[in-house]
Amino acid sequence: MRLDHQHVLIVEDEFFIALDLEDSVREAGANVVGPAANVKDALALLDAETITAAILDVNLGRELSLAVAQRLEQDKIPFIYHSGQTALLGSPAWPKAPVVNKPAMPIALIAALAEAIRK
Amino acid sequence: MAVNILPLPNSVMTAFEILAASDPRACLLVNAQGIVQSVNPAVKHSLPGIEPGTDMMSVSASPDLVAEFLAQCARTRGPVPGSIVLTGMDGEPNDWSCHGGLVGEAADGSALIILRLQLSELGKSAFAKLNQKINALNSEIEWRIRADQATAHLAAIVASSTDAIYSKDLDDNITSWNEGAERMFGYSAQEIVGTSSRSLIPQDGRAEEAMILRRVTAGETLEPIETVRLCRNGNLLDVSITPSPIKNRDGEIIGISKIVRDISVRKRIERSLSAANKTFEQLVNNSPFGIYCIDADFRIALVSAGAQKVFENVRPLIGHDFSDALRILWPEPIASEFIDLFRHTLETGETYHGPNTVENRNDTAEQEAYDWKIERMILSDGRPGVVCHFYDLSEHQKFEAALRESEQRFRGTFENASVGIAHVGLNGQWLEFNDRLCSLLGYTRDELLQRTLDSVRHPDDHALDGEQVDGLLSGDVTSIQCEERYIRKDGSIIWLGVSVGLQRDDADSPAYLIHVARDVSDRKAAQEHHEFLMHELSHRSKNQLAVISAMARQTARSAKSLDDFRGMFEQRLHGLAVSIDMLVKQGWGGVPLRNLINKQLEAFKGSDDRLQCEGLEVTLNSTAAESIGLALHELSTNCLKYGAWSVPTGTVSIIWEFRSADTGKQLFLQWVERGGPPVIQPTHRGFGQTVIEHLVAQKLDAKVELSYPTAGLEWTLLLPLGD
Repeated sequence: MRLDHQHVLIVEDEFFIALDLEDSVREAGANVVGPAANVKDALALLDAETITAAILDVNLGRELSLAVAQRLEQDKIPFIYHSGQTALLGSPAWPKAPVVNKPAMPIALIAALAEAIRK
Repeated sequence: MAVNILPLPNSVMTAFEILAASDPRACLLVNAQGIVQSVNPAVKHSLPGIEPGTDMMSVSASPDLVAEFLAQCARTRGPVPGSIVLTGMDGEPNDWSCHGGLVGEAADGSALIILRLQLSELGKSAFAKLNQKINALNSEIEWRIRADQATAHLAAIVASSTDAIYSKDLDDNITSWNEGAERMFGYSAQEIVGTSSRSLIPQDGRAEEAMILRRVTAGETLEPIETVRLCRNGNLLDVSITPSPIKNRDGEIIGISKIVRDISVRKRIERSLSAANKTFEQLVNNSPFGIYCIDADFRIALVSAGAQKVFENVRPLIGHDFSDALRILWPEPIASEFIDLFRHTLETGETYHGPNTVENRNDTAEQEAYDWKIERMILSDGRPGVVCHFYDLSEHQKFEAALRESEQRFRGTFENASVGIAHVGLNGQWLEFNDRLCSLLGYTRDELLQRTLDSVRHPDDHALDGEQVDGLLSGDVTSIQCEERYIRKDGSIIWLGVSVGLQRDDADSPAYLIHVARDVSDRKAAQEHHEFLMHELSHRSKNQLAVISAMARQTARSAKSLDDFRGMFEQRLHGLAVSIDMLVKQGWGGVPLRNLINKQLEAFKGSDDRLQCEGLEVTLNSTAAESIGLALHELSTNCLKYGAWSVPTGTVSIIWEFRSADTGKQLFLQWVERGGPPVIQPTHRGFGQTVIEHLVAQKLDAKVELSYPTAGLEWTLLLPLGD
């Protein structure tokens, strides 16, 4: 599964996971935007960069990524949630998007993102 | 009778009157023909049929003898004795001895003769008989007069008496009936006299009446009899009857008189008195209080139910000599003292009050205390007696002590309870609450009194709902349990476990609610902490797995060989494990920086002198501890491989301090290596360096500087301190 020509925003506060996602996304042929560890940085990147898809961690430690998800939905940018706390997404405030449970194999994550983009 | 009185010479008449006036004998002055010329006063008594003009021949049974005697007197000078028969006042002829004497001549020349008459013995007895008869007649007249007077007097008394007085003959027929009887029975004399007295006697009184009749006629004198009589209007009347015989002059009983007195008022009073006495005795007997009565003979007359126990060893009780009873109950000299007191009151009427008499009993040896009072009063037998009222203080004291103890126990439990207790009326108002409830809610007693339980309950937590309370009131539910938040005076929240029960009164009606509240904040906090931990654990474990797999992949990318990967990965895993281990031990609450340094560097530093640590006490939160821990781990790995610790003499010093910056307080942390081989800046940027430079910076929003002076590597961290 390839993500050629895609500009993928990575929003992840966990340093090692972010590093790993970066490698995985880059290996799938896409350009990495970020990673952003918080909402403020993520929104700044959305304003400044070309972004065609996104991988979104739900719990960013001190905050949740709800504002980023709503912005992605508003900009019609396909994205997937990558989280260990999927229960948080039960609230209707969260835009609908595919959810990949942590921990995930990089290949499964890339496949889910490619599917989201294809739709 | 022909009157033939001759004119007498004055001298003869005068002589006769003078001679005969004072003579007790009957003296007559007669002429020769036997015609009476004058009489002296005695004649009127003894010969009332003879007066001047009377012919002596006509009053004598033997006129020839009289004529002969008179002729003899006329012929003879001097007195002539003789005897003649004359009819005296009794109408019977009597022999009279007679002395005649010639005293002169009448105007016609006939002789005038004085006759002095005296009854002969024979005549005297007849006269005495006559006299007796006259006396008898006189006394009868006198008796009759007196009797008439007495009868009139009696009749007046009878007539005016308020008592009914009537008489009857032996055939039971009423013979007299006074006004009192008319008033009492309602019959007039006219209608009842002559009828049978049975109409006055009720059916069941006939036998009694027959008995009265029998005894009166037998001559017995009867005391007044109290019985009942029937009035005309059908009412029964209480009466007292005094029967007496009526006798004739010969002493024969010919009837019975009855004096009947209306005693209905007295009877009514007697009955109510008797009822009052009975009530008094019942009251005393059934009284639960200590009352007993001693009669005039100093015997026990009455004992109330409440006093029975005191006398339980006195048998028989009623009629028992009271002195003896007291000696059974009390030892000497107390018994004698009591006897004297009772006797004194009985004799003088003085009351006595013993407010607190404490003595040991003779029969039971137990100490008893009484408040007692004695006074004299008239008992139902109409005689004075002594009434004793007493109050068993020992029972009272025992009861009071038990009550006090119970109250104290309750107070102790209530006030010292480790739980808050409140009695709340069914209207929601406080009745009572303990100090613990005040301290739980943070209010003083007075402040809490101004509020209600509902007003300090958290608005989101429901008060007892009506259904639950109904359950309590109906008895379907014995208690309600709930955990609720309350707002303390300082605004903080306290979780109280409240148990509500219902207190009922003696009549089993709901009285008030008992709230028992215990502080469950700690448990609630523990529960919340537990939930937090479970949540953290789930989150972290998933996250850690993601981190570890990412770390493994990152390590693999830079590994030169599988052995290299394994070595590196194990070390990093160890570094991560150390931080997590410490966090778990601290309950994820945070880790002191000094402990983190020691733990992370323990395996690398070799001897203690190769590491100097200096800094104040500072605790790192879990994120900071994890990131800084990993950075310290990478720094140590690097130091051991290439830096100060790669030679025997190199040292590492870690210092930290708080600094103030424009953005606020910062933690300044510096790692400085000295004494190692000269430092050469690396050309290849490995995973370790990425961790050292970017992990902390990104995770903690910190500023990180990594520099490579020849003397030794320096790593500086400026961490903004939020809170």
